[in-house]
Amino acid sequence: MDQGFFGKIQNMDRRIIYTILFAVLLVPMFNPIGLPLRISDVTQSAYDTVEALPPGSLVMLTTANAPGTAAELEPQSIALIKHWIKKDFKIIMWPSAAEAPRFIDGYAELLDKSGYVEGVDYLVLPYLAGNETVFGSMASDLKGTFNMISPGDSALWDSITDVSDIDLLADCGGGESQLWAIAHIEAKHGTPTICLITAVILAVRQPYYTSGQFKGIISGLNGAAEYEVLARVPGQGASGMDAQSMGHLWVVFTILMGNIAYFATKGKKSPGGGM
Amino acid sequence: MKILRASLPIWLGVIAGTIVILALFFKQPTGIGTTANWFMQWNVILASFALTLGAGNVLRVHGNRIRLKSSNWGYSWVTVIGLTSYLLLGVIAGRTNTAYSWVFDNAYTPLSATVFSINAFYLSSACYRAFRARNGHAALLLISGVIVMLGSVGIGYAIWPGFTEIKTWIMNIPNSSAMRGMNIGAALGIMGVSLRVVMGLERGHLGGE
Amino acid sequence: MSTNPGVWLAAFFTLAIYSFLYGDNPAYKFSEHLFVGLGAAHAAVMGWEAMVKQAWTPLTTKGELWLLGALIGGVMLLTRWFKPIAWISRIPLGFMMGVAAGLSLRSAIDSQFWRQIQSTLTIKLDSANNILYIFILFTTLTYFLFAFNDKSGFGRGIKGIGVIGQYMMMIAFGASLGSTIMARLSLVIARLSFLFKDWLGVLQ
Repeated sequence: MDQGFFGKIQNMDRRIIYTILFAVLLVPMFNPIGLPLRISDVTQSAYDTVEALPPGSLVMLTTANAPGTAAELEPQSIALIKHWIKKDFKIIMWPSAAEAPRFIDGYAELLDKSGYVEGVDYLVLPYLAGNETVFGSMASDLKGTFNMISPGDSALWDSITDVSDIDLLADCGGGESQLWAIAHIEAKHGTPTICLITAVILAVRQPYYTSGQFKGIISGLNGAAEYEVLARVPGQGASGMDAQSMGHLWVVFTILMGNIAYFATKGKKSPGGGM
Repeated sequence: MKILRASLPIWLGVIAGTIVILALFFKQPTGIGTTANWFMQWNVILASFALTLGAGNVLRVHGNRIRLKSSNWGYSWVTVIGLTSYLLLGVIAGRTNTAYSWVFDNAYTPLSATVFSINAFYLSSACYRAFRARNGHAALLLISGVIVMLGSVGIGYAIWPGFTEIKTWIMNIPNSSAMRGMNIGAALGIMGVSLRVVMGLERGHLGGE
Repeated sequence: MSTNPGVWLAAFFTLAIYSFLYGDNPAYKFSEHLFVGLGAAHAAVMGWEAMVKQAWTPLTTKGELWLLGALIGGVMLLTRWFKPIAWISRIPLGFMMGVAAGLSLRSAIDSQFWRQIQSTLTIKLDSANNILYIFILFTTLTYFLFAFNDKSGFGRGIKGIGVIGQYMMMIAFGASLGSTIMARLSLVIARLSFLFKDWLGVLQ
């Protein structure tokens, strides 16, 4: 049956779509366009929250970073940690997911290179399984939760009594960990909390920012790029933004083209599913 | 025996859940608060054991495929050998061992990252072949999606600065309020299920018998 | 071009997984099966280390006997692998679910329910945006909470409000769609950056 131009367009081989997407993402990586970057209100709030803390404050990063989310969370975390280093904060880091300890190794190296001393200026807590239970346990009894750290092992740990000593909590992850952080730690102790998240869950986390439970959100690769600009810490966030832009433009084009072809062939028999 | 199999798990859930809830009302250290802390710390340790269950299940499934010579059973050897050798390396030498970290950085990380990233292509294909504005709901969804996409990136701002303004408005007003409504609805659902578990009325999580 | 064998291995796996876009093949199947094995092994290793650090070492070196219950419960969990005694694993599982349910109830009541309502009640109806916010929240909640079949005028009115809520939720889902696409594209950009920068060295 003659499908017509729009019929053929509608049933284009998906491998052509994949190849065009590869090309659309690659070209701006080789030939940067230099598109403008707008700072979003949620990232600005996260930056302002950190900036408002005095030097020497105690901050905590709980991270559920994993290889599947590292593309977004890693640049965000590094930008945040570099800002914390500039502010001379004392830092505690805890991996809340099984794959996160390896990423924390990288942050620890960054801190070492910046002159931080482990145990005195920063501390890495060991991974514990249990998801929400660990957050609940930390909120009730931080020292008991990490009973493997004995008095004398770390001057920084000895200076803390419980979670209420933490001046800022930053939770990083692509799942539910931010909700556990505000449900148990922020709710019980009033600890100011910001979250570093993948763009996928920004829409769902927005109400918690509007309600003030999160003081700020760094979301996706753009969030990382925006934070790098605000904190004046160069990083990998900004380098992918042009490719992001062109990729988005391609996706918008496919939506428009697909719908134009659909409405043009509507009424004629055409295979294919739809919403 | 029936008490051990059927009733004891339910009663343990009721007691543990009740103590954890009651501990919320006691700000100063008390017997209930201390017990709740113990229970939470026990739960964390139990969760560590639960992590190993996944590995056991994978070995069982792929072991059966090898034994029964099911379709693609040869590849199941890859899973079994990979799992067993990496597990032994990790348990004996530790996570921070150089070889373990090397495999994590150069095998597991690229595999995981690429598997997750392949979604982008399926999404792009779906946008082209399946996302159709067949009715008002779909049209509204697509219009909102397109505006948020363009408003989130520099090219959108370069085409028309209004995209960014509208995107910010969408995220702060319609999205935030609708998501808040959904979150409140979901919270009511969670409360219902949690109450059923704490009252011993929910047995689905223990499997049938 | 990189001379690091680790980078070459990572590049092989990346290309093998992406090759699935153009058709199933042995390199993809091999990589996929290896991914499953490594992932499961890593989770088990982390579980083992966490158990040793938090329970076994304090029990054996500091004499913290209260941890014995957790260790025994953990071993009971592992009986799940052996069909004749798999029922024993239900005992620690019941305990775990009870603790998790208690924590979920605490967090749902306060953080997801009360704090969200409290924040809504503080919104002043002094701007169009605020009025619209309350209206959308009201219609969305009506859709979820009052889904019943009532042919009377009141019932039809409630249903109509719910329909408006549905349309408002579509806007939120569209926002989620936009955000999801951004997230997925970031992952591809990262892999392409690895291939062309770290592996081939043709990108600065």
